[in-house]
Amino acid sequence: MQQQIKAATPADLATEFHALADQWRRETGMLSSSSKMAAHPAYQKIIGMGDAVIPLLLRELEERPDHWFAALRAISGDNPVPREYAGRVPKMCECWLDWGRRKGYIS
Amino acid sequence: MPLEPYQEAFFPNLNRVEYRVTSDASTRYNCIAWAAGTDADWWWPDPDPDSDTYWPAAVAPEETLESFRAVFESLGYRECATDELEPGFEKVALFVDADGLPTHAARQLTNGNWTSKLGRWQDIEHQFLDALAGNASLYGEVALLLRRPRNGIQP
Repeated sequence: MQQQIKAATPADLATEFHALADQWRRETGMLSSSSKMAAHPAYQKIIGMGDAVIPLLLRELEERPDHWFAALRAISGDNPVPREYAGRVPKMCECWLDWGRRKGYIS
Repeated sequence: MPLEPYQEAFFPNLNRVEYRVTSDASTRYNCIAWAAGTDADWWWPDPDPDSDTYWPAAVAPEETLESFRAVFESLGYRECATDELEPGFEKVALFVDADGLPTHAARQLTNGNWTSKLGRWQDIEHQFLDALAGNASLYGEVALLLRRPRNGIQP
């Protein structure tokens, strides 16, 4: 008998995302290097999850601001942050959250 | 108050020396910003024009010790020989990993101790620079010491 492959549900996706995000926070929290933070395997796996995790990344920015900007840029191909805000985390979060609302990812 | 055990585990020397946590964790600023005297931005060189980090425009955005040296020289620091407290001077120590890539900066306080922002974790005050050394793939070792007069820019 052929086994059916079960598609991932939104709940599965969220569980996997949060496990990877927790791992990334725990294993890179002491780093200042933005390149090393983004190169971490858990961060790269999150990028590999694609468009479906954009709302989860935006929710993270809203609830506990962190350096998810490179992931959002890589997945969306967009960058709503003006150059003058580079490095200003609260401003960058605001720009991405406004972008998310405009694009309908979050309300 | 110490760091959590999982945090301490990344720094093999830390639980052998005196240190204390001096801030809450923050994703807003990092060790380079903190050593440069600000808690408003995340400083790191990134040549990508879409970079998410701040780096002084006058300094090449390269992940090299020379680029980091240039940033602190632009703030009035000059290379010095020791990490000893010298009255009237403020010092900064730059760390590099086993590949020679910059990893961390610490700033000396007036009591001779050092203040370090640990990435997105907390600030700590530590008696010796060695407290954060000893893990070659993490912060590595101190590669450069710089100083400037506490009361102004060095001529």
